[in-house]
Amino acid sequence: MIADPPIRQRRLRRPAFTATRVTLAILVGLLTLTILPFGGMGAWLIGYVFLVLATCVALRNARRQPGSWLGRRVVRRGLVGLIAVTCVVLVATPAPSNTSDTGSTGGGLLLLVVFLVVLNIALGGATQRVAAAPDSSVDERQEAMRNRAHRIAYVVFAVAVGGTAVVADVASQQTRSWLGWSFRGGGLFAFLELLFVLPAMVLAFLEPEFRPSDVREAMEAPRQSTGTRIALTLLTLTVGLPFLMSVLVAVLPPRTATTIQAPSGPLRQQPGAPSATTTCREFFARRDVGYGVQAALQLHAQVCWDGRRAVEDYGMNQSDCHPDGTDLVTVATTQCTRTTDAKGTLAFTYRTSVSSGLTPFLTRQVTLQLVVDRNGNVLQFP
Amino acid sequence: MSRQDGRGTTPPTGSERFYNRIAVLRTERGLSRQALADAVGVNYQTVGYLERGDYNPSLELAFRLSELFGVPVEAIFSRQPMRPMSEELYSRTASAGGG
Repeated sequence: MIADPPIRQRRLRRPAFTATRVTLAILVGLLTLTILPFGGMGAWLIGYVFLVLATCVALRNARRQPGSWLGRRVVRRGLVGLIAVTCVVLVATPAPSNTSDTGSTGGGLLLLVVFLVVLNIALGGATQRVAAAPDSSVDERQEAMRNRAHRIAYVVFAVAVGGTAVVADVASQQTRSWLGWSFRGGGLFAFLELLFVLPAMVLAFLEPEFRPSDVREAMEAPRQSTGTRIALTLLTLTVGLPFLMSVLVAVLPPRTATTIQAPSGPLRQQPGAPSATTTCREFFARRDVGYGVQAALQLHAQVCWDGRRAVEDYGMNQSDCHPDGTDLVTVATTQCTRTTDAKGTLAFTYRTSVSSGLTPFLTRQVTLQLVVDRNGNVLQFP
Repeated sequence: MSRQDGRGTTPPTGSERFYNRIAVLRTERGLSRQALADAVGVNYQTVGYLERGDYNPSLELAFRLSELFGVPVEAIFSRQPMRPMSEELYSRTASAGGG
């Protein structure tokens, strides 16, 4: 036996402010600051952030166990694929805007970024953070692998980001403008993700599969401890929950609440109405889609009729066609029309296309419609 | 020993390949891979790579293994496929006795 302890892999006392801890603290701070403006988002998002943190802690404890499910090549490559897909979705996500009817994009963006954080933590556990590890905590084989991953990542990054930027800049005016706004929205996060995490992604992709003999002979301990099972459960929940809630937006039947009441305020003066025989009613309808990842659409209008025709007193204009509240979904108005036919029937239609930021390919049409004839009969509501 | 200059995931082939007796020596001493990895300061997976000849160690690591097992480096590593230790020992003993 050799007398001196080996140089590498020596247990070092970890400093209090490691890069990981500082990054986590910044992320938690950013998330808190981001969540505060979304006060109506509900407790579920805060709960989800706590789930993310619990998953991060569990993954950190599970990472060094030989043969752990997290180190399997199929899991590693799956994580790389998920991160790549998330980056593509991020690039396609526009910047949050207060003026657009898709102002809810900020919520979708937040969800994607949280999702990306979880995937990054999982990837770090799967690769034992070799990609960013100092020389003192990796052996020579891992150091060689890390260096190779960084070289490949450098080329991939240059081709992916540089190539995309060059092609977009010269292709057309449209792609040039896309290049401008892509870095103000999710594209910035995708850029930072690739900049900092691509070496770990390459490493996770390249590293060969565990050999069963390596695992068997390395440790006599069982392959999956309670800690790894908990980590697996939490990771499944953390990754699956946003997808499940996104799918529910498209699948669950909407919840509708309506009220019709006498006007609560004074009538506006309009030509032709109101007259002595005019009757008015205030209509209120609210339609909610999804849980957690959700949108609330509302129609609030006052309609008057006098036996000759029905007219709107207020609430059926373009400015009324916007969602009442959105949590992590995109709402696009597809129809906002008000018509009065020859028989004096008033029809108002507010139709939207609702989709989650995480599953933009799953959309749902939600319609609010109010049809009142000249005698005040409500033919359709909502 | 040649360091694989960044090709940590590509097994050495042809003239780059070294043969070794690490698995035999480890088993003889009743060490698990984890124990050997801890003793020479590498990851347990690296021991598997070394034993299979999928990774050629640095000179430093080769000497650490040599000191740990108490045998010369050339008894652990070779550029030619290695004969079983018992066969090699017997042939040496026989040639020493005959000479």
